[in-house]
Amino acid sequence: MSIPATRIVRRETHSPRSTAAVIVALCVALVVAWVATESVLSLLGLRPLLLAPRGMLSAVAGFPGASQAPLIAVAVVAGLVGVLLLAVALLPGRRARRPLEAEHAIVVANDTMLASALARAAARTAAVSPDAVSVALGRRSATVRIIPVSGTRVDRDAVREAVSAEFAQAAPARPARVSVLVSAAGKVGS
Amino acid sequence: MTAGRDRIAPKALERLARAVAAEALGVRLAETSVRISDAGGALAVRVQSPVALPPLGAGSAAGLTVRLADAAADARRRLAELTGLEVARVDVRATGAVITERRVR
Repeated sequence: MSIPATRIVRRETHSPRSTAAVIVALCVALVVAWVATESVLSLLGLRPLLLAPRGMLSAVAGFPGASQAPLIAVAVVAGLVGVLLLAVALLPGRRARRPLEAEHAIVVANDTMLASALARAAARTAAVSPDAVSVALGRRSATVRIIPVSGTRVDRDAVREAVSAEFAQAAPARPARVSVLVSAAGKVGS
Repeated sequence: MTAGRDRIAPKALERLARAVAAEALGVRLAETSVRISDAGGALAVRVQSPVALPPLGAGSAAGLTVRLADAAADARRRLAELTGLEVARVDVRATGAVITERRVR
């Protein structure tokens, strides 16, 4: 795949971080602008907008001596915000989509769509109604859960083969391991 | 390429089980009631029905328990045969007796 194509695929399969980055940058810019304005105002000897720089510093310096409740609250909020931003920055942020191989086109498939196609194939092979099948699609694995019709046996290997074939037909870039779980209890009637 | 999918609705299954049980017990269809549930992936059938018995002192009569066990086994076999499904068990609860002049087959 060419460089722009990989970039486009990545953009579609990973969640963008621009919103978080913009919000953080905006907050920092606002604080810096306010501190700068206060500094200039105090240098000119004018009335501060909210708080003079001297007042800010003394408030920060005196904060450890404040009562415990606000200390803990500020610590918790700051910690949460920090962990959240760190997680957004470091986690891969994958979306439930995957690239498919295609000629002259970039195809990215939604996992939900792919899973329902797999479920349909599984239901057809196992001879159960489509709503007796559920498929969980992970990045490298697909788990098919089947509630059989009472009194019939589900051929797990046949189902696994059919689902694998259906999955391969979609031509995903990365293969997935298919596992089939047949519930011990069945459902009466079909 | 693919043959269609056969479906047996639960209601149809229940009706069929009723008919089979009524025949095995030698009573009318309306007198029997049947409840079908799942038992480990197979069918479990519970029948509530009177049972047809020859009059007392008719000599050839087998015991009631034997008669019920026979009828249950018969119903189980017939139901499995007709539906192609695995029938784990048929439980029969006799709610009464219908005395017949001749033994009902």
